[in-house]
Amino acid sequence: MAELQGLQLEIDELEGRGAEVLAVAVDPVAQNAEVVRQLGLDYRILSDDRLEAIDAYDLRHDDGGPNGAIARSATFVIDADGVVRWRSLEDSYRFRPRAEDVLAAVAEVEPIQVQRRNDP
Amino acid sequence: MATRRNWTALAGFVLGVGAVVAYFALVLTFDPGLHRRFETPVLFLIVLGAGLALSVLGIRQAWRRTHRGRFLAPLSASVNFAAAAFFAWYLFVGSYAVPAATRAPAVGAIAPDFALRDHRGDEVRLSGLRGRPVVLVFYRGHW
Repeated sequence: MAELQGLQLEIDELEGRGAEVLAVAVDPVAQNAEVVRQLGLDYRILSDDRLEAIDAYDLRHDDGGPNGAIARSATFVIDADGVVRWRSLEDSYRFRPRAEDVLAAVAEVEPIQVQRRNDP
Repeated sequence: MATRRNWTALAGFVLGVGAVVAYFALVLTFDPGLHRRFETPVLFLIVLGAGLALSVLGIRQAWRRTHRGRFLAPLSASVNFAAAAFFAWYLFVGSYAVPAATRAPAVGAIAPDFALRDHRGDEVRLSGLRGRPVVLVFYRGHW
């Protein structure tokens, strides 16, 4: 959960740069509501209990959790056109991306968007 | 019969098992600041190594009958080495048992679309968020 709390610490800067933060896990909606309340998160947690997005991103970790398949940790920074611009796929679940790195990736996405808007 | 207490064996046990327990206690705090500082648990491994060395010295002292603990020194050392073996396995093998995700969208690829319900029960469609950057974080879940 450190990852969710780490993101929360950066949420103002991320949203300040116009980014939308979405967390995805297999947990049901009610449990996610509880986590958001307990940790005081200002971003949304999506419930992927049928592993639709998790499979689409090839992140299924079979028998990774006590109740079967879960997502392996991964973070994607997607630009305004829906293109992946940065990703973090650590090969050990001890390692998580640092919020500063995510922030830097979002900051890099931004200038290109501005440039495109200026295109004729 | 040796009468001196085998403090070396005891210290080895406390340091070794203590380092392992302290590491997992730290993991369970979920404190992002602490996690970052101890991402590579060098400090824990050094303390653990010192504990194992003292455990071995403790056995030697008991064996040479300069100190007590002919039974307890090997026993505590065994527990110490077992804890160390588990810790090493977790750090360098167990925690790497995650799928390769070879088909995960690469940088430059279009992010696969999806529609999922948020914690309020409202549907969120990724393609509906075009026009602004999205930070998409998959995590293992809250358990």
